[in-house]
Amino acid sequence: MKKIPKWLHYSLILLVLGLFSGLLLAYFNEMTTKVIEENLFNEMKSILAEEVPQYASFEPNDITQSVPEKSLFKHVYKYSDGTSTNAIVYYINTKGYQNGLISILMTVDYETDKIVQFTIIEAKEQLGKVSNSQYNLIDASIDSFAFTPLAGATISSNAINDAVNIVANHYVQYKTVLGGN
Amino acid sequence: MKDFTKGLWEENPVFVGLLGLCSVLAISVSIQNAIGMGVALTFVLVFSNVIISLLKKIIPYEIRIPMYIVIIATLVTIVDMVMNAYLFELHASLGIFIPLIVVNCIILGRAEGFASKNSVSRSFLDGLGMGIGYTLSLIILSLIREILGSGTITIWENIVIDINKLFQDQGTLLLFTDLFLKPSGAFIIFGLLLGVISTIKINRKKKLGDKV
Repeated sequence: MKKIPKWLHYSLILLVLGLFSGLLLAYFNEMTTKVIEENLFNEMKSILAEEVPQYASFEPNDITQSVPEKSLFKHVYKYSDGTSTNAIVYYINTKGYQNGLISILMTVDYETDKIVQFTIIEAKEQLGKVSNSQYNLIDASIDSFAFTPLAGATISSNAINDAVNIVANHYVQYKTVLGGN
Repeated sequence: MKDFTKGLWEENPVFVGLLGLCSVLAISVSIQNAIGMGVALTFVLVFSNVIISLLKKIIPYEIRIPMYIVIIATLVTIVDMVMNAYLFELHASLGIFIPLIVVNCIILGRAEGFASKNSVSRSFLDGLGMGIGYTLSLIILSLIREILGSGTITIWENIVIDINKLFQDQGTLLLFTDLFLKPSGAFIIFGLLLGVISTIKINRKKKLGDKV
């Protein structure tokens, strides 16, 4: 019997190992995804309970799957008292200095159309202890806010500004759809 | 037994081998971090040693490194996912250093230098000893840095001993400086510990030499 060439032999071994590794990771991914999502949801809830306590009595609903252009956001949540919508919460990721991940949580009050909460919940780049009020967004109207960039962090500030604009445009464009979901 | 004990002192990966120092210096700001990182690395080290030792006869020499990397990366990803799910805060605190275990030289070093040449049981003991040695070194460094840097000992989430407060209650005010929580502080403490350990080793050698 003809011996298989070395390159094919090595490729097959690596392929088998890769497949086994992939299967194992798929199993663990299946096992942990829900818990990780739950952790993120709870973290988001605790941030909101602290920063916008007026909605604390409502349970946020994840409406990401039914939102237009959903790929722009990590999650979109809605606070509702059962009959009317109270607020829309956007969870959006952007890339700052040296492609560092920046995760932002931002809430728009559905009745007043004002930004009532804005938090950078994760920043791979050290933005320092930035107070959210430094961006000058709280209580600003969603269609006429003036974003204040952070001195010394131009690239990240621009990325944050872009993300805020994506949220603002989305909210203005799809407000009725979001409220009706 | 020597395979297990050598990692604790004689061939300690941190203070003797000076391996994996990037994560050691970066995360050693609290004992909780040290325990979390130590357990994660020990898990990866033990299992990678065992798997590589089991497969040593079918791993071709020419492609051994990519195979080791696939095995180690798979184990690290599993640890990363499990910690993210069940130890969420600790995972957030250790951040990028969990995925970076993949490139930790201790693991690849033991795979290439020990597990690929020895039996499964010896590789298991070697991995366990090295892992515990790494964890203990991290705990010692973290303990000193945390006490000097923030005046606390954070054993686990809510189990915090506030030394600063204890001394204040007795009327003594201790001044802690966050220099020790910064990278420069890590280098200072690590250097001092290296000095102490080297001195102990030299003294022991001298004593043994005197006896002979």
